[in-house]
Amino acid sequence: MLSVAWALEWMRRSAALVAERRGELSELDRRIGDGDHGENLARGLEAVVTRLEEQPRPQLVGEVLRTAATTLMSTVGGASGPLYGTAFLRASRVCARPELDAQGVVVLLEACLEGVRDRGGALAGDKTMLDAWVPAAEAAARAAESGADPVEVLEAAALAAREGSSATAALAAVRGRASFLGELSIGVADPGAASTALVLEAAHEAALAGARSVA
Amino acid sequence: MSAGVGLVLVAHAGELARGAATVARQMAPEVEIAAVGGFLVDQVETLGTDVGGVLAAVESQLDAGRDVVVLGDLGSALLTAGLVLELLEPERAARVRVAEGPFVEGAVAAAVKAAGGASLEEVTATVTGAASQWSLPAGAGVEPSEPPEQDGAARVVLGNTTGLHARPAALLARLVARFDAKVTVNDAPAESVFELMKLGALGGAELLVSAVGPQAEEAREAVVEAISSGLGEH
Repeated sequence: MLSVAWALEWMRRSAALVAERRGELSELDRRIGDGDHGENLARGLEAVVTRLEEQPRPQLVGEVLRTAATTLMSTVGGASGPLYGTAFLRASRVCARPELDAQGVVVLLEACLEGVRDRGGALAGDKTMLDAWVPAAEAAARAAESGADPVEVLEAAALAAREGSSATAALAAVRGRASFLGELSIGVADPGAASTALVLEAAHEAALAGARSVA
Repeated sequence: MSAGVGLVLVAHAGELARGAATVARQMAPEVEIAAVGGFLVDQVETLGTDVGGVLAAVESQLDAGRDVVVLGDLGSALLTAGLVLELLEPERAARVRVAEGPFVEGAVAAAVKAAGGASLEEVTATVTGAASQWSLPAGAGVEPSEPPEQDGAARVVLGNTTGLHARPAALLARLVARFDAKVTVNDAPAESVFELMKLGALGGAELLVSAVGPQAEEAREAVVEAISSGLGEH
């Protein structure tokens, strides 16, 4: 089972991982966007960690996600603020419990996916962060169905998000400012898909670390 | 009962939002237009859009009893506006629309429409419709054609020197909105600022004004009077 401690660790590791790779994310964004994705998201996630440390310890996984959502909305000025904000807001509504099992992780990821889809209006293959969220949620559902534990479900999701993100390099953007580049955007991965892969990698690492500390 | 429609203009830079609001207000000074642009990082404005700022601007208009149309300058401004809708209570969100269309032209068209007392849906639709307004004026670069003859229509000479540009066109559109009548000027619907501008009518041009509807006569007389007197200009 994944606890509130996991959710807190997820946010800490997301902040650390995105901060470490912020240059890489911003470089992708410089080539096909406005160049601020890494800095914006790193600043937003850092604010999430600060906010979580300041507030009384949450009792439910959803409370952690809600704080993440509202903080990202108010600290990230680019499109990724409303997108991640909506993803975590929707996830917070379906995670109002102290622990998540494998199916709970699937529900969380599917809520994130629905949030990103509703907010951005993109379709799979449009070269957006949806191209990481869609395979991640699908892989998670398949893993849970075949009896995987929550850590394995997140591992499957993180791997699928990584592959989905890499595959966006071959696509031409049809959404957002990158769409003005059209075919010229081919060859560069989508920065939002790349950051989604990092955030899900952090979710898996946090779950692994929790499992190790229990063992 | 709603106190009309107000606008919230959301842009990635404060000066862009404020500039668009200034242009729109010139056409419709009585409409409430809020400009929300840029994103503060450590008290310094950066490029971006601010969910909290947009939410506050929308809530303030709703609190004043107005319905609200939100316009954005780029896709992510519309994402922000969409999220604001999700954060509002459903019954308040029902009084807000996010309009997709060109930012400046949409703001101007929406402001003029709102000044004429149009509904939330009408103001929203006019923003979307403003996307089709940037074709060249009919007859641009060629000699103006003779207006067709028509029964019950009145010919009038445009009394200003600069022609039917944005401000006089807006004045005319607002004038006809007061009447229960459908007024056309050389076949252009007079309630549409952009259709009027597309006529490309220069000062001294002869225009054909016709009207149908219960107040057709009054509307036609008022429009003829306004056009011949130069629409507030000389």
